[in-house]
Amino acid sequence: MGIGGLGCVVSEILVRLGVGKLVIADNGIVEESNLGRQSLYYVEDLDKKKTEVAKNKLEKMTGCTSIEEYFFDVRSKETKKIIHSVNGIADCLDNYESRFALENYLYDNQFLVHGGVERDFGQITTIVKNKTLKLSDIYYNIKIYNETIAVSPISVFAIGSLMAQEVMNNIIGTPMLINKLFIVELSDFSFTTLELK
Amino acid sequence: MITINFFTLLRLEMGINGIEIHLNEPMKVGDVLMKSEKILKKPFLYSLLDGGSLLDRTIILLNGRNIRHINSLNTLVKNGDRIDIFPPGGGG
Repeated sequence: MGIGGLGCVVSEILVRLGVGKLVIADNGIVEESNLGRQSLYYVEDLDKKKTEVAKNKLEKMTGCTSIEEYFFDVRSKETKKIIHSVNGIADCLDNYESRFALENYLYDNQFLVHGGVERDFGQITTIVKNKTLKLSDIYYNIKIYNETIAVSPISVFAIGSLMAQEVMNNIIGTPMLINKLFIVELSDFSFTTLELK
Repeated sequence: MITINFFTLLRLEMGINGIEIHLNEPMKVGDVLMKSEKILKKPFLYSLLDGGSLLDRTIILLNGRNIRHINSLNTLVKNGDRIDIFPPGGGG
């Protein structure tokens, strides 16, 4: 969910890993400011729907992954229908309001790998309904107003790659970040895993 | 000793990973943070608090639990506890 910086990296890796079906959803249009960190978009894609551009690029990568694309706001009710057709979700969204709405649509045993990124740091965790804390517990009452968030392309690629690893961990049944928050700080090359309660 | 760990923006701002403090008796989180600021001689509470309340973006975990689920800045901490402070990355 969300095919911006993190979404581009996660989806590309999953396609190259040979995932059979990938569903992508976003309501964004490719803008010039995206080109510095959103790896599926080029100058020729400006003003086009991100989901359409991403689908075209991802389909041509290996020819082995079926891509479904949906152009809508993740907070809409359509999300609920769509996520019931998938095993798991990568939260590549860019705001907490949408993230909290998304996790409320999870069904039992469906995993959601959450990633957030900013400047040169970010964090990842796995959410499973009735098995882990919810994002809205971990980030209780958090509000980030409509501010532009500075994001380094390096952190997008690093966090996106690690998110893809956790998606694979979940797919094979060995998630590493259940009730754990993995914090990546590129400023001092440190990885920290916090136990959540 | 209690361990206070700084992450993300706070770590960048402070230039250190955290601080360890010995408490003679249990103390409120808010008071521990003020004590830390005095020891470190570098202001950082302005980026976490607004008029004695947590800013909307501040996440403080006490032994892995968000203090907003306990008693916020009035939550008591004791030696052996761990406090993790960070604003999380919000972008995607």
